[in-house]
Amino acid sequence: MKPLHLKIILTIVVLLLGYLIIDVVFDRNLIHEAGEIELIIVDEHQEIVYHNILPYEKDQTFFDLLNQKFTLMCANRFYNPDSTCSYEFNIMGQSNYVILGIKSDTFEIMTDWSKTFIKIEVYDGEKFIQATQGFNHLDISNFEKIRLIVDAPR
Amino acid sequence: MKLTQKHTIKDLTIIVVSASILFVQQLALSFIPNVQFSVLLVILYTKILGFKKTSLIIIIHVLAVNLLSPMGPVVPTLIPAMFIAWMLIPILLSTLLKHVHSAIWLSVFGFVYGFIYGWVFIPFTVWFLDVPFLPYLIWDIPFEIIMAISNMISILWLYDPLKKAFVQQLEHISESTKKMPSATS
Repeated sequence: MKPLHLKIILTIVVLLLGYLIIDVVFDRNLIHEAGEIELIIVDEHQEIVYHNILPYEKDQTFFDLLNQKFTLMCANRFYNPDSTCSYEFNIMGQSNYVILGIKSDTFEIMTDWSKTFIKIEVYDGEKFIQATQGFNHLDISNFEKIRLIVDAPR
Repeated sequence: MKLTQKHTIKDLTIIVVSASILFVQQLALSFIPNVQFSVLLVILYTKILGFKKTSLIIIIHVLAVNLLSPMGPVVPTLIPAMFIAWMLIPILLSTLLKHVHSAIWLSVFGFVYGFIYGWVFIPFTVWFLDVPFLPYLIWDIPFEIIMAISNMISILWLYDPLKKAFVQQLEHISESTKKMPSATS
């Protein structure tokens, strides 16, 4: 076989393989039934400012749930505060909002992304562990409790 | 005492220019995660410039990425991981894979290296940043696949023409250096 033909075949095979693994194996469609989740919000002084059980709707994302219950301050493309939440960060086809602040009638937390940020923790049945997905893709039906903590990068 | 500095200056220039190309292309492509020509260039540098010069290029590159990147520095605890990961290319290509020269086999190496690069970061991320091991391992796979594919395709199609152009440029520089008078001190 000529090297050129081999290169073309290898390119097609490797692209198909990558597409199959990423798109089929890592299915990112968020599908779940309605339910409820215990939400805990901790401020920069490590004090619990919000602790409640929130009902969520079928296929509702964690971002939608927070947006429905609170006034959110998202990050724009330059990580500056944007109250309209009009910008979604797109990584490998995954859109994600970055939330800098959460406000309600009783509390307000605000971060600046560089010195402080909102860390998402999920309860695995025994303890809280760091979430591996952001506000848009975290499957809330998989967890009983979610904790949002104002944290500083190490 | 008469010292010939032509080769030192020539080598330093080649190292700095090569490191600059590596840094600039990585920044230019940084808006697409894990898609870059860095692995292609490091393989090319190892094969043409050798282990020592490539190691110096990697040191400059790792420092530059961490100090000058407009996207901010990488987490300091991950700098050793980054350095080890990049150094694996010259180490492997100067030892186990010393006799591999074909673009097709180097592209296969580039594909495998896409995964190795991701795995080198795992112990550092898990130990220093307290990131849970299994979710991190699983969710890093798509990024590793993208890097593997990007490496393989770039090496497959660009290694031979780049090698030819780079060798021509080096020969041109060598001829120019021969014509220069020796520096004395």
